[in-house]
Amino acid sequence: MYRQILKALSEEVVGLDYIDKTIYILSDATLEPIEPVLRYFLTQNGIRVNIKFAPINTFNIQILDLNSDLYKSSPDFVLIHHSSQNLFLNFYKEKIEIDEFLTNIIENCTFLRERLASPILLSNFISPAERRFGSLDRVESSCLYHETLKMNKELDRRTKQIDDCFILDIDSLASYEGIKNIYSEDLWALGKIPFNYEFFVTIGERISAIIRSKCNGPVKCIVLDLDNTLWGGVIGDDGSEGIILSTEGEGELFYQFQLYLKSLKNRGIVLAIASKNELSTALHAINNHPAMVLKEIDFSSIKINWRDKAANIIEIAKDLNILVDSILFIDDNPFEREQVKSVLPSIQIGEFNINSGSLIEQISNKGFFETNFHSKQDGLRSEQYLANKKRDNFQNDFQSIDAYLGKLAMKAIINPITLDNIDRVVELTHRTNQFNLRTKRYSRQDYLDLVKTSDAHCFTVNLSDRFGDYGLIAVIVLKLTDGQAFIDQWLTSCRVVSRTLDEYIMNYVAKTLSKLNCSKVVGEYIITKKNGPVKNFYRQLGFDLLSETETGSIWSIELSGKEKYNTFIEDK
Amino acid sequence: MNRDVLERINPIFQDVLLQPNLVLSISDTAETVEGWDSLNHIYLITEIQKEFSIKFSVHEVRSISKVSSLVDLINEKLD
Repeated sequence: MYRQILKALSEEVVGLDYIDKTIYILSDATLEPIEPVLRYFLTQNGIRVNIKFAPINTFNIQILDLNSDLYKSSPDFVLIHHSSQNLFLNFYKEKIEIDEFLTNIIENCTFLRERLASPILLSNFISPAERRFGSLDRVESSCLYHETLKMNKELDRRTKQIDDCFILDIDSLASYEGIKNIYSEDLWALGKIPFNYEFFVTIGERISAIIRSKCNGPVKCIVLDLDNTLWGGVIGDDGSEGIILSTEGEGELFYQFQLYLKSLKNRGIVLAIASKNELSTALHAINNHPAMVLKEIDFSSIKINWRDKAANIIEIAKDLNILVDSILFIDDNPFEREQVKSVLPSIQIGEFNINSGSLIEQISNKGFFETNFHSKQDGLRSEQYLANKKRDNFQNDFQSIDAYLGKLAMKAIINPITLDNIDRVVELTHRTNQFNLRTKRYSRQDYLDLVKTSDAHCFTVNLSDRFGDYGLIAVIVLKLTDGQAFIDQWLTSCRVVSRTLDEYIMNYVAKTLSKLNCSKVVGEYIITKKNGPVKNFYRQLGFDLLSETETGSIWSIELSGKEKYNTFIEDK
Repeated sequence: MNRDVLERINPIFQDVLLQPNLVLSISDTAETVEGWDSLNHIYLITEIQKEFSIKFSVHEVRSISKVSSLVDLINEKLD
């Protein structure tokens, strides 16, 4: 695979718009072979990377000296790696204090995060293969195996307290590939290369997935085929009784796969179907087959027809109001995958073959579901899409959109950013691509700092209506200077567009600012590949265009204090 | 014999050094081939060992810096 990656890199790639990111890598070993792997996988996701390496084993110098190459490079991501080989030496030869060693790593990360906005990926330690006692090594504190387990637990615990510092779990990647398959003594002897080239592919692919998720947002929806995907066989030929799906035996493979998909749904990834079948036949099987874990109600969008799949996926994205690049498409048929990929190059697609082992493994170990945030609201997502469906049906009963909005009985609550809602605030900040005016990906710490700043006004909006609770769906940050307010952050969830929410928020902004004797409001729109929908946001709210460049536009409005924007949302 | 070996290592050099049009000659050295640095060298040798199902010692890997000596060493191992 490594060589195929190099071969692919030497060929010209055209098309695609790219965003540029710099990754800075610090290691006590030679990690350079990872460069082509990162370039290969990230380019496929529209991210062009500039990868820089610190000289080997210069952690402290690079991190503590603010004039170092690390800070001069102003990276978007920092990767910190400690090799198993050096840990072995440190443990047996230098007899280092593990606690001290760990504390140094954590202190470096903390110091770095305080001075640099970029997220840190810190690799954990790979469990060693050697044993001094055997199974007892696991619990014997004089053994490296025991100490490695302990250190990894400590790293988990302590990085959780550092904002935007994440564990790169190479220990689990190593155990997945098998510890005896990832090293090469010759490579270490020749150039302190800590892994063989194939394992560089494994790690590089995972790092790319994490970076992709940070840049483009996580996978939000899985679009599934039915035949030979959710069950074995073809429903149109075999009938509901003939398909391979059962709680034990041959069909358990598919039963397990569905249980896994259901668990993903419960953690906030929405499920949808794109299948070429007769709708009634397929739905009958879904609703009545005794071993079906997933029922009709578990799918937020269902497209079962004879149209091409790409067209159906575009419809699904429209139904859910998400972008195609946050969709993972799973289909056993390589022809369908090709067709979809050629029409929708930004979609995520995994290899999927029902004859090559665990179906779960084929999609769960590729990094598709990498995300650094998880809030309680995540789990409610599917229900919210379901409520949306009911809203759509309800809307059909009305002649005009206004009549519909009036009957929705929307209620909003404005709250400050607090420790109670900050996880959701950060999550929304990183998930929202379309309805995001400046796409400032503030971290938890950034928000905590902003809240403390006296001239910054940060608030959130929760919305509910007769069909359900949307939860927290907007984050706004106003910065006040010289009697003028600058809209530093304005982002809203894609699930609440066309609800007159922006007007409601503007009323609140006007009221708040008039209390502070501030009448001028300045807003900025920074263009990204994805926030086209809010291009005319400020114009619609009555702002005047001050200037416009290739990268965005600046708008302003003078508030008299008597503005009343029309909204159908009421205070709760 | 030398021609055969040279023909088989040429695509490896092309892939590893990201130069699809590279044509290697027997008189080339690490100095004359662009990108043939110590790091790429290690991967070149890794792939060459795979291609011919042979194994070089660490010492041998370090001593190679010319195409001619590489080809000789491969032939030696193949005999």
